[in-house]
Amino acid sequence: MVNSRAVLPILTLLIVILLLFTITTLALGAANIKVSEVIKIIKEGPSSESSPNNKIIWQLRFPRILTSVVAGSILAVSGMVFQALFRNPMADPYVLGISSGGAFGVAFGAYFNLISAVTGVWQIPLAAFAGSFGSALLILTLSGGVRRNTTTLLLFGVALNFLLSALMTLFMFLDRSQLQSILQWSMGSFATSSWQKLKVLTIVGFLGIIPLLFLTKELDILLVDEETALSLGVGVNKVRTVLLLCSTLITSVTVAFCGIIGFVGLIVPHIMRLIVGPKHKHLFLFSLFGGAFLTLISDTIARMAVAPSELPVGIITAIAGSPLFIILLVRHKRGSL
Amino acid sequence: MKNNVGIIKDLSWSYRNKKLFEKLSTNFPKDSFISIIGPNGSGKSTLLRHLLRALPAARGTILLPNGDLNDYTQRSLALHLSYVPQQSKLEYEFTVFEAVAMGRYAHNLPLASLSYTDKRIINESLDSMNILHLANQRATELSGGEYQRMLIARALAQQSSVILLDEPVSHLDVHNQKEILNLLRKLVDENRATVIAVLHDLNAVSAFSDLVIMLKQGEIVAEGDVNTVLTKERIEDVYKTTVSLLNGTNERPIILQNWK
Repeated sequence: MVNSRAVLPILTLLIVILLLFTITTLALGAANIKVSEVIKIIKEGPSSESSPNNKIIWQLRFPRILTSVVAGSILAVSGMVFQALFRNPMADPYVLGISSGGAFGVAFGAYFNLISAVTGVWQIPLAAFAGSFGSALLILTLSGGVRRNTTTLLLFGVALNFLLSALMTLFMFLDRSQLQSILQWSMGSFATSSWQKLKVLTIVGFLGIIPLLFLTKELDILLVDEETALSLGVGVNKVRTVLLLCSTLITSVTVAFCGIIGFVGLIVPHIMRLIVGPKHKHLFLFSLFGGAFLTLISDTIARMAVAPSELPVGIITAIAGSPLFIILLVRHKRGSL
Repeated sequence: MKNNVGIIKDLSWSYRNKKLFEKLSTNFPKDSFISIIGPNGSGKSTLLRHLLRALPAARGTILLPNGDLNDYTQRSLALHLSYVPQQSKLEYEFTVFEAVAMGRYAHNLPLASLSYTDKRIINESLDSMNILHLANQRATELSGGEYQRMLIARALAQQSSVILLDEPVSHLDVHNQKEILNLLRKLVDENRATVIAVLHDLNAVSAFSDLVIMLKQGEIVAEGDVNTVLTKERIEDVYKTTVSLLNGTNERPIILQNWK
């Protein structure tokens, strides 16, 4: 764990590396564009009579890469919040079925024609939020009596994931025209990113993350028992409600545009805790940047591994995240968490 | 109210249609060591939880120095009352200092860092509990006794006038029990806090309390100094056991249970 004085320099370094990495990844892809040309194209800006490379950078790669950065930050922070909210180191929006709830909301809306292609940019996140919020409420209600039992909560999440994925498969089966898009949601992808979607994602993400920034002390205190949290002065119910609403909102908007990208919320806060310790004041900022890194790297792998075709990014994060989840389960069983 | 840190008037409360408290009333005098005793399930911890407002509102009134408990914000309540749970697991590897610093929450604004005054108070609290040398150690690495001291230090850092403790020494060895109860007694003697503790060990109750409140099935069956409450007949009636009483230091009874 680093000294608290080293936090700011490390964070600055992370931001610089992230910026450099973003520019580098802009150069990577099926079309071979050199970094120097990328910088030139960025300086040029998006122009109407531009070269194909300008279009690739400004219309395809830039929105996609920025979307992965924003989505990763959101998912990592969301995981961090869920872990404190449920006092459970294995909680994350994917594991608990909050992400599946969002995807189900979208699939439901699409199947019953509640979402039109024209206005979809706002309707899709709304449908996703309704679905995610439903899942969150269900998990919260079910776990109310078993708050202290980590495994039961996770089992509820797993059961909910089973149910929702079965229902989504049903939608796919009933309406094969939706098959491709639902499949995409269920595995996560940044391939359909656009500036317009990125704008919505960033605005909603920002609105959901700002309140969380003011609740970092409360997030620390929620890690103690409920009576103590109350006695320390935290309005536990109010704080939990705000945390749940904000983290569900930001998760669902990510699911709406990028599908289910699992385990980011699990991997990033855990690694960051090893670096900066458990205090949310620092963990929050490090998770933001750590999440951005993870999804950016994962998406780059997804784009490059089987080029010119590409993999769903959710597969990459799941391959990285599942072993960590198993390790955490084993450690928890040994009582060493 | 003047000489009390809290007054309970006609508190009635049921849980799952089962009545626990029926018009329970009592006072908590200032700068005293108050022990709440009684068999398992008699409502001791529930009473503490009502004072913390951790349970749904009950009928009756709980008065604190600045008015009705229900009119307090959670923060203002924290400035009056602090709480030490029986056992509390802290997730992740916070240092002892960080865990105790949580006690300063109610004194600070959302994004504010700890001030010099906060740090001084935290260090003094750690020192009062003789664990200042463990400040940078991870809380998860502490022994049971050290951990309990850390929880009390956190309550001290809160600088509240009342500390509620739920069986603070039940799971500790005799040495740690003695140390911690003496530290609590010292807080009262130095007029730093009023201690309201749920305790099981009747001999500890006898040795340390100024006032004892004895509960049986949600009802206060006796209330007063140790010699008034801890009588042979009453202990045998409430705890359904047989005991012998000896005269201890300062005329305080020593209770011996007949184990057969």
